[in-house]
Amino acid sequence: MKYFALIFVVFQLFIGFTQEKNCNLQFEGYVRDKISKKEISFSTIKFLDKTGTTDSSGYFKFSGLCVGNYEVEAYHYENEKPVVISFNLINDTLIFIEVEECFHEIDEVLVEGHKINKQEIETLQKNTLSGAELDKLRGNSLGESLKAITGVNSIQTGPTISKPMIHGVYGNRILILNNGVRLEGQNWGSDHAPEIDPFVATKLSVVKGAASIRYGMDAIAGVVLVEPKELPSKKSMNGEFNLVGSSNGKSGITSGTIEGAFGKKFEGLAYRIQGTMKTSGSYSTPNYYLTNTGMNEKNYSAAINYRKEKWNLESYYSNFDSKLGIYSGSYVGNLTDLYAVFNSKQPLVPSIFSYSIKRGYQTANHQLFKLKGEYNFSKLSKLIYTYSRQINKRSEFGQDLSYNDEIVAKNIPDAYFKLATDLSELIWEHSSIGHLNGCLGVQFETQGNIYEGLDYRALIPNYRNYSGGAFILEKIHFGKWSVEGGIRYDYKWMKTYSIDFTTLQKRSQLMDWQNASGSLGTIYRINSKSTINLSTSVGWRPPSPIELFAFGIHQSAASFEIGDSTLKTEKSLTIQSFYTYSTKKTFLEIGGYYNYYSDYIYLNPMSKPIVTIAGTYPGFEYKQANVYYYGLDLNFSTDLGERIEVSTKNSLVYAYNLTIKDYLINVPSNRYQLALKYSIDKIFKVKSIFFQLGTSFIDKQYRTPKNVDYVAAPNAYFLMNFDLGFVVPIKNQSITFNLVVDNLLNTTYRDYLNRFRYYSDELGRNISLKIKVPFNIIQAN
Amino acid sequence: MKNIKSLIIMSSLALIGIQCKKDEAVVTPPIPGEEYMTTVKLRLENTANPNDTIWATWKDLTPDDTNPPDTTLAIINVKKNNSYKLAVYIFDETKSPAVDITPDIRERSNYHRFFLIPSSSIASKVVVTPTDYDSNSPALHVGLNNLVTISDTIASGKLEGILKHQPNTKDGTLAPGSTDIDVFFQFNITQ
Repeated sequence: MKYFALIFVVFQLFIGFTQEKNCNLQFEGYVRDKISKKEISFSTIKFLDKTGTTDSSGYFKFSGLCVGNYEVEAYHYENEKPVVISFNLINDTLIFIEVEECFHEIDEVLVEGHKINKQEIETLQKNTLSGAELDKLRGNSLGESLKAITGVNSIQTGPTISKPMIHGVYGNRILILNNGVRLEGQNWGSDHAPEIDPFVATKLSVVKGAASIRYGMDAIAGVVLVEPKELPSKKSMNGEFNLVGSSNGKSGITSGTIEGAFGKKFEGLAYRIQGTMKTSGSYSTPNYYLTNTGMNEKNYSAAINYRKEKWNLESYYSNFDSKLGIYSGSYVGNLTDLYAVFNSKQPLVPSIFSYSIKRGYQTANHQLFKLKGEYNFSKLSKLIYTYSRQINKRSEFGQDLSYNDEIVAKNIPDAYFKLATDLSELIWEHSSIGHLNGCLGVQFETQGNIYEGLDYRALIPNYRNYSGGAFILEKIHFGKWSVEGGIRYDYKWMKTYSIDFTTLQKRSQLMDWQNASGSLGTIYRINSKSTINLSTSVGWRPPSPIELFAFGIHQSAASFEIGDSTLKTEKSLTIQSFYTYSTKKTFLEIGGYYNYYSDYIYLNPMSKPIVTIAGTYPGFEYKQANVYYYGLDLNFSTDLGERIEVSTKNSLVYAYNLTIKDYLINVPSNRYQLALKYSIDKIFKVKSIFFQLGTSFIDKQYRTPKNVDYVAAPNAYFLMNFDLGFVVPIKNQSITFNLVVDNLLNTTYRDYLNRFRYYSDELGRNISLKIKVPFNIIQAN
Repeated sequence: MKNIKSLIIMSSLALIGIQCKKDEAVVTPPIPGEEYMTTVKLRLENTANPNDTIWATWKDLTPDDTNPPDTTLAIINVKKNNSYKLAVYIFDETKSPAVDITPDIRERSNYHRFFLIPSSSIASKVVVTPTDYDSNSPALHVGLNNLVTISDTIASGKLEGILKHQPNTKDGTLAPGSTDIDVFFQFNITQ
C-alpha cells in the first residue's frame, strides 16, 4: 500500500508574542495506517513554508518552533477536502497521523507532550527556559536563573549561593539532572549551591511535582533539568561566544562553545567542547559592599557522540570548579553576636571591594563522566544504558584561624567532603504498542562519602551506600484523553563509619530502607486551545545523613544542630492540577497543588539552649511531623495591539505543620510580578528589538513559626527591572545583545529566603550587558 | 563492537556495585595540633596584699558536646574597698598536659580583645580597667591584664568574660567580630 499525504501546519503565531516564549521546540511525527499501524513512507509534508517528505519509516521532523497554537491541515494528494487538526505546542511534540485508505478520515491524532526519546512524566507541569528568555538570564547562577519560572524560588546564602526551591520545598526533595545524570553533591547543606555551569544548557526546565517514579526517591517535589542541545549530525563546525559584564561585583564572564560533526569516513561522529570563566569582586548593596563576597569559577566540558545505524554512543565529561567568598559580616560567634549584627543598621565589618578572596570561603569541584549507549530496535523502541561517575569535593574554610601557627601555615579547610557516586541505569523506551507508550527501567547507585576536618565532630560521617530501583511508566491515549500511570520500587542500604570523639572508638551503623512509589495522571484536551491536567502520586525518601547524624554548631546559622539516627522514612502524597490556554494573543497557565507529607523531616527548636565556651546557642534537632503545603501558580500574558505585551507571574504558597500546630519555616511568601514589553521587528538592520519593564512585589511572610527564627521576617518589598534586547546581523551571523538592569530603583530590602538577611541587605542596582556571538567555521550543507 | 563490549563490561561492574577501593571505611583522624578553648581561669591579686590571691575557673572539657560546663569553681569573692590585678588565662584541657593558649592570643592581640563586663547589680561597684595594649596604631587594649577596683558596698552579681575575634575591625568596642569565648563568673563583694 502506498499513500501520499500532504500536511500543512499553519503557523498562526504572532512575531511579537513569540520572542519571549520558548522558541526551541521540535515538532515531529509519523504518518501511519490506522489499521495496520504501518508507517507510510515518502509522504509529502508541508510545514509553514517548508516542504519535505517522510522518510522510509514514515517520519518527519521540524525544529526551532515557538510555544503556541498550531493547525495541521492534511490533504490527500489528489486534493480532497482537508481535515483540520489544532493543537497546543508547549513542549517538544510527537504526532501520529493515522490515515485510512481514504485519507480524509483522519479521525485520530495523538499529540504527545514530549518527543519520544525524552520520557518524562507528561501529566506533570513542566516549564522551560530557552532561547531569548535564557539569553536574558545568561551569567546568572542556576538557582537565580530558575526563579524566572512561576512557582520556583531559591533559598540563598548571600549573593553567590542559591539553591532552587519548587513550590516551597528544597534540598533533598529536589533532584537536578545534569545532562541526564542526577547531580550528586553535598545537597544537604542550604549553603551548598548546585555545582552546575548553566552555560552548558540550551534548555533549563523545571518539572513541578513528584517525579520520583521516573527519577528516584529524591525527586519527591520536583526535578530541574539542565539540557544541552543535541550535537550536530551533518558535517559542520560552528560555535558560540557569550560575554557578560555586570556592574555589581564588577564581574566578567566569558563562555565559549565549539561543536561539529565529521563527514565521509567519520560520518556519525560529532563533538562539542565548552568552557566558562567567571570572576567577580565583592557585591554591593545600595549602601555598602559585602566584603569578601568575590567569586571565581572555571568550568569546562567535552562531549563526543557516535551514531551508526541503530547505535548511538555518547560520552561526556564535565569539570566544575568554584571558589566563593563568604561575607565577612556573617561570621558570628554566638547568638549575642547575631543580635548585635542584626540590630546594627550598618554592618560591623568595613565595606571593602576586592577581587581577592580571603578566609571565610568555600571551594567546590565537581567532575562528571558519563557514557551512554543507545540501541534503536526501531524508531519507536530503544534500549538505553547509562553509566556515570561523579566526584564531588567540597572544602569549607572558616574565617577564624587556628591558634596553632603550623595549622595556619597549611591553610587547611575546617571541613572537607569527598563524595564519589557511581550510577548506572538501563531503560527500555517504547511507543505505540497499540496505543501504549512508556518506559521500563532499572537504576543502581553506590556512593562513598569521606569527611576530613579539624576535629572529630563530623557534620556528616563517612558512609557507603547502595541503592537500586525498578520502575514502569506507561501512557495511553484515547481521543481527547491521555492517562499515565507508573509504579516504582526502591531499596537503599547504608553503612556509616565514624569515631566517637570522647572515647576515640570506631563506630559503624547499618541502615536500610525500602518502599514503593506510584503515580497516576491524566490530560484532557478540552479543545485546540486548552488542556487540563490532573495528577496524583505517592512517594517517599529515606532520611539524609545530615538529618540522621548532625551534631555540632552550624556556624553561618549560629545554631547547634542535632540529628536523630532513629528517623523514619518520609512519605508524601501529592495532588495537582493545571489548566493551559493558549491562542496567538494570549497564554494562560494556572495550577494548584496540595502536598501532604507524613514524617516530614525538619529542624525543630529545642526547649533548652546549649551552653558552650563560645556562649549560648539555640539548639535545633531534626524531628518528624505531618505537614502540608498548598499553593497556586498563575502565569498569564496577552498582547495589547501589535507591539505591546503584558504578562504576569504569581505564586502563592501556604504550609502548615499539623503535629505542632504551627507554620513551617523558610516557606516563600506570596509573589506577584507584572511586566510590560514593547517589541519592534526591525529598525534598519537591527532586528527583534524589545524593551521590557518589569515590576515585582514580594509580600512579607506573615506565616512564620513561633520561637524558631531569631528575627522576624523582613518587610514586603517592591522591585523594578528593565531589559533591552536586540539582534544585529553581521554577515551570516546574528549577534544578540541584552542589557539588563536589576533593582532599577536601587531599593534597599531583605528577602525572607536569604539566610544572610540576618547580616546584610540584598544587592543594589546591577547593570549587565550580555552579548552572544555565534560563529561558523564549516557550514553544514 | 569491541568498544561496546568493554563499555558493557565496565558498566556492569558498576551496575552490581563492585568498588575497587573503599576509602570511606577509614575514618581520617582530625589534623593534630588544633587547639580548643575549654577553660578560662581568672587570677586576682590584691594590689595591697600579694598573698591575697583568688583563682576562679570556668571549664567545659567537652567543647563540642551538649554537656553543660563545670561552673563549680567559677566563683570570685573579693573584698570591698580593694583593688585587684586581674589576669586572664585560657587553656585547652582536652590535651594532656593542658595547653596554655593565652600566649597565642597575645601574639594575635591586634585582632583579639578580652572584655570583662560586670552585671547590672554590681556595675556601679566594680570598675575594670585593662592595662595591656596591642601594637595597633593607635594602640588598643587587649584585656588579658586588668585592674579591678571594688567600691565600698557589699553586693553580688556576675562578671562576664568575652573574648572577641575582630580581624581588621578591632576598634576598642565590643560590637565588631565574632565571639570566641563568652562565660560567666559569680562575683561576690564581701566585707
